[in-house]
Amino acid sequence: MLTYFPIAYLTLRPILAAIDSNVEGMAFSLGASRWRVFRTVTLPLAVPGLANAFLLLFAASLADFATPLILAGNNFQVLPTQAYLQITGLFDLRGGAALSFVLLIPALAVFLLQRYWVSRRFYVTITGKGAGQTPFDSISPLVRGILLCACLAVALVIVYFYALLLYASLVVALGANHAFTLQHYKVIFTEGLKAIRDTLIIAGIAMPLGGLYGILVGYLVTKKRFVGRRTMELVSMMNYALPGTIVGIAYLIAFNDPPLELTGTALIIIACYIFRYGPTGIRATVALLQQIDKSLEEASQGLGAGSATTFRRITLPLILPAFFAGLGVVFIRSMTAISATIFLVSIGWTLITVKILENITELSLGPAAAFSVLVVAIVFVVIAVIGRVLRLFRAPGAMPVTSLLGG
Amino acid sequence: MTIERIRVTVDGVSKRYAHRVKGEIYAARNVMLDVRPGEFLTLLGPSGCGKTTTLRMIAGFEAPDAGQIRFGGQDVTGLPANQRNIGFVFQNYALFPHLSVFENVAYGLRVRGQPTAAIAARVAEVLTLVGLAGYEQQFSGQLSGGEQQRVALARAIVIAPRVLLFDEPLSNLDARLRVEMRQEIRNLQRRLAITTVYVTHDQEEAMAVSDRIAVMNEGTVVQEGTAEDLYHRPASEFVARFVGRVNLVRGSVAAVVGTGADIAALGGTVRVRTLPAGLAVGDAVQLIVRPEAIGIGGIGGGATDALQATVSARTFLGEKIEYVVRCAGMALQVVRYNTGPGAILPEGAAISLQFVEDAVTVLPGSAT
Repeated sequence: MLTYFPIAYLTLRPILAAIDSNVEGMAFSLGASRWRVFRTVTLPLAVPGLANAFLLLFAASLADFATPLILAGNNFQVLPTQAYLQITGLFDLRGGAALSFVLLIPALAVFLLQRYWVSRRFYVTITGKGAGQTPFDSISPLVRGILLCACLAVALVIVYFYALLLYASLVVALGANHAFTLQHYKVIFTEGLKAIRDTLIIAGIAMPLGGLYGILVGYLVTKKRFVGRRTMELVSMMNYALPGTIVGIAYLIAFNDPPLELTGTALIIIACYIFRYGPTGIRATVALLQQIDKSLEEASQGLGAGSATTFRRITLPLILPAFFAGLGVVFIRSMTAISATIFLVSIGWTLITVKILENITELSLGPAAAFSVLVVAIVFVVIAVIGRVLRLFRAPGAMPVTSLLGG
Repeated sequence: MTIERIRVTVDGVSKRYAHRVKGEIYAARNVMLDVRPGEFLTLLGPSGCGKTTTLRMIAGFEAPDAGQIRFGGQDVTGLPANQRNIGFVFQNYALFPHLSVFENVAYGLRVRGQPTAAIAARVAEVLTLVGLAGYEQQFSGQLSGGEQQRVALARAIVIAPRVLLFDEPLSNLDARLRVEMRQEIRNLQRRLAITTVYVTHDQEEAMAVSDRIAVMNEGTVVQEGTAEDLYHRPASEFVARFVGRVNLVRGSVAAVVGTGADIAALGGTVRVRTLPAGLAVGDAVQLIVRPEAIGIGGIGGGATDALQATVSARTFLGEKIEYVVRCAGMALQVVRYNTGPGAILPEGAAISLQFVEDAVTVLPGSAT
């Protein structure tokens, strides 16, 4: 649950923020109590967001692979883990494929449901006249205090987890010997160095390609009219929405034989990352392009610029933030992903996340923790750099690009 | 700044759209316009009348299905917008958000590959012209609506366009700024003498800025003329209603008097100065009378026989008073300047009305 509530948060926040507080104030002034306002106005307006978050969480939990494997082992069997064990343990590619196909049906259903039902029911309209509103206090001070405490507790637990992680990486053996040591880091930078190098190389290659793929597809589906445009959009998003296990097994099967025999190479992992995580860039590009009024391009045209000049000097700079958001997400996911790529690693190319899993199953918690701390550190640095670059490219007064990194 | 003064001709231009409910509809149908060199012409009409579509076809953002558009002698119908050398001011200004004020204005010059020094000088000159010197490094998000409007204007005129086009440029400004900006636009256009086509749905704005106004409705130009022509001599009920406030009175021709006539209406007779050709005694007509052209009591010279009426409502607006009076069962709007507390009529007062003869327009009417 803790792993996934950021998704819910990122989904809900813009929706709640977009609800016109005057609407709530209006209900309040009509004599409704705070609770009634919340129940009859705020909640119904937030329903699409809630439903969306619910579906996303459902899909994510459905697909989650590593968490149940590490936490529950064989006691609590979930489909993705079973599929993994079928393939890696029993070398039963068909059995694994069959299991993941069972998974495909609910996942696809959720994806389509989310796409066709929820996306149409956004009641919130963006009028561009949001300035100068006082947020409406829809909860009483007491309730707010309780909620604040609850949220604080959750936040503390999360901080505690990361602190514990750091601690575990710096002691000999968590729970047994709490003597300080840098041994685990020594291990990961010697034995684990290949995994680190491989991961960085793969992420480094996947990042620019994934970013480019994102703006290219985003631009095509928004600005160009061609046959199969909607299908293209759907298919590109599907790769992102489906459980990683399915995607991983699909890649494994598809590229196992000639003409495209990629299994065991870095290329298959890179390809998987690009097409699986590039869609964030697609969404960001589409969102930005939809914010760009047609008149901007017309203005450029009217001033004598051809369509190539207009694209280069007007459109491209305006969707650059989406490119960087795409870069960031592809990189971060390349560092942290496991569910799809665990099927794609080989002796030749391995990943930090896979190493962590191996360490856990071997019960060597220290190196696993050290690896994790390293990943967290790298991800933080990359987020900071990308954030800096995004600000650099955002002229004052340009459209906001915050939360593009989310998802 | 050398501006080439050219004539803009819109010759029988039509544009059709596929509408989801109504099927195929005409956004513009056989539109004819002749904008003289250096003239300020306004397309005026309600939303959906085709004025913006017409403007966008002049700009080259949309291609007409039929007809021809000429700049001077040149047929530009098939020419894309970027080769027409136009200045277009958008309703939402369409400033490039990632470029500074300077770069926004410089854009058209850069695209034309002008030398950097010349661009700097030219941009400075134009920004001074619109009163924005010193704003070069600002971004559009930091500017007020009026300032953004000026940047948009500067960006449009800096390239010395052959034609200046405005698409409801003032509709996003508040009322006072709107009045101020329309005056500035008018002064600037006079000074530069660029042939200008301006689109608005605000009749007052149209009258304030234009040399000539073309009123559009349902895709066609229904009347063209100066503001005074349109106001005093509307050719149809639509124009009368759209340009200014109006009373519509049914009647019939009682007698022809020279070029004018006596019209039987409102239980009496109304004398008019001109009767349209083709109307004879007994024909049904419609009288168009502006609220300020109705005299109360003995006020108003050259009036015909008095009509009896009562004041049924009044609105005090300070400088003027708006009355609703009942005359032969009909409610009429009458406006009087406030000449002092003693001149204000109470509700229920019995009065007589006189219509100012040459301010009454006669249109052929149906018999009912």
